Amino acid sequence: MSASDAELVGRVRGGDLTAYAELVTRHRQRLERLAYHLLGDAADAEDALQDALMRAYRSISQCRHPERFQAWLLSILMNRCRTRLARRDAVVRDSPARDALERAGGPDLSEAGLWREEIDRALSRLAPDQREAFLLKHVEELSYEEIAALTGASISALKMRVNRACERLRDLLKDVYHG
Amino acid sequence: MLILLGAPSPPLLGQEARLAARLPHGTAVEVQRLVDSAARLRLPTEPLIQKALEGESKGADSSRIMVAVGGLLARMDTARQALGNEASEAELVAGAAALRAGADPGSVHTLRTLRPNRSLFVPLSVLADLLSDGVPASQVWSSVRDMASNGASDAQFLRLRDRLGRDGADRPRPLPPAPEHAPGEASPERP
Amino acid sequence: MVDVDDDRDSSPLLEALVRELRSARVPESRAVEAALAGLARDRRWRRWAIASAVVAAALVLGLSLRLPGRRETLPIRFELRAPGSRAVAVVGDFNDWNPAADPLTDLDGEWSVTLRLRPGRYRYAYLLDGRHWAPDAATPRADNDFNTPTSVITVAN
Repeated sequence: MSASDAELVGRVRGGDLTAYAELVTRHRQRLERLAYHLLGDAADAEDALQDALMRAYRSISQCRHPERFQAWLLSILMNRCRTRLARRDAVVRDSPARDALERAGGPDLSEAGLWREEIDRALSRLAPDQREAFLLKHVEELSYEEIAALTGASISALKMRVNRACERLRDLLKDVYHG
Repeated sequence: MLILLGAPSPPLLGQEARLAARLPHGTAVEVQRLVDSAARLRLPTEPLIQKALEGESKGADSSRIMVAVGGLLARMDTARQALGNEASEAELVAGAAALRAGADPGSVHTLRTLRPNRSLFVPLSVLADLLSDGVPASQVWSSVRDMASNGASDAQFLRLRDRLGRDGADRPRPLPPAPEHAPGEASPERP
Repeated sequence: MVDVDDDRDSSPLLEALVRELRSARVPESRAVEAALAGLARDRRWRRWAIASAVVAAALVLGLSLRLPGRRETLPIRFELRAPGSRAVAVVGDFNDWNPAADPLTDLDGEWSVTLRLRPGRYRYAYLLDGRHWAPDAATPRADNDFNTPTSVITVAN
């Protein structure tokens, strides 16, 4: 039977890098998915995640609840992503003209790959805190309590962000969704 | 009520300064007696003190405070009978809340048998919250029972509450559906 | 079955979106491998450093994490929109129902405060201008012993 997160964290505190490798491999799918969706760019996501993983190892003594290592690591990753977003020039901004242009001249969007592109583009147009809340709630399926603990926001603020994200996503994707 | 009727006045085991500072003297003495009873029965005392202070802050009269504190003491006692003597303070508080919301002691006991080695604090809290929210008891109970049987985590119970609670999508709705309100508006007051 | 929680969030479009986001592969990432390689290089460098100082520091840090008497608390943020109010406080089981203990701070009608609470179940409500009790729209309602709206929050590890 494999070791629990808490057991592995204990070994990492003793300097066991192999234990850290096992620990982060266990969670890598969620981490990679969240970083990519938050940043919308594979290279940025890879950099942010590498940064987060190295910081986490170096500050492992600050993980006060080893059984909740994943949540602790997620919070570090989210901080790295937020820092990147704050520094990055806005690549895509809300633009009625741009939206209208794209809808008018858009290609056939019935293929799965193009649907995915539209999703990624729509996500990038959300405000960062709305995107973050939406992903954590509906993709990572965390409870509002868990998200509040990760982000420091109140539950009511988080619900508002998720609702606004859903409205915006519906608006951005309604013309390209073929249900 | 169960514990003190007909019993001789027990010696006061301790003076809780907060009660004396905030409540009228007579009320403070009576509440202190209930607190002392709880202590002798090895039931949590702090929730009783908080209940009395809540009543004081809300301007309730003494009789109402006594009913509230006495009722809570009784429910914690019932919760312990259902959960066993090893129940933690958190489990007893949550169990008392579930009983107040309409759960029956047999259901609380069933939860203990389904989840014997893990705390029932969160499942009982979720049970209490959903019943208080007006979710049909049969739906609440079948969901909570099944999750406890299947070894669900505390986080999964909290997500259940998100789904079935006041704003949840899986919450049964009357027909026609209630009008939506704009994001950011508080939910309307319940009658 | 895709579970989209809030009824305002539910629609076939959003369900399809969430399904896609949950199931589709993201571009391959070498972040884990790169991080582990970087940490391994760091460790080799550190072996050249003054090892005793590093070990001593680690021991001290380790001991400080085990000092008795530390009770873990969690930060819980309370928020209320009350643009017409002059004073808002959160009052509950965590502060002896003392209206003066935890006032909220106003920012353009959005009132908030963050408290550190130990795991437990807490009844509470907001008190506006010292007179009007208001529940928290974001958390479940508590049982009502005193004929005023009351909310409850479950703080869990």
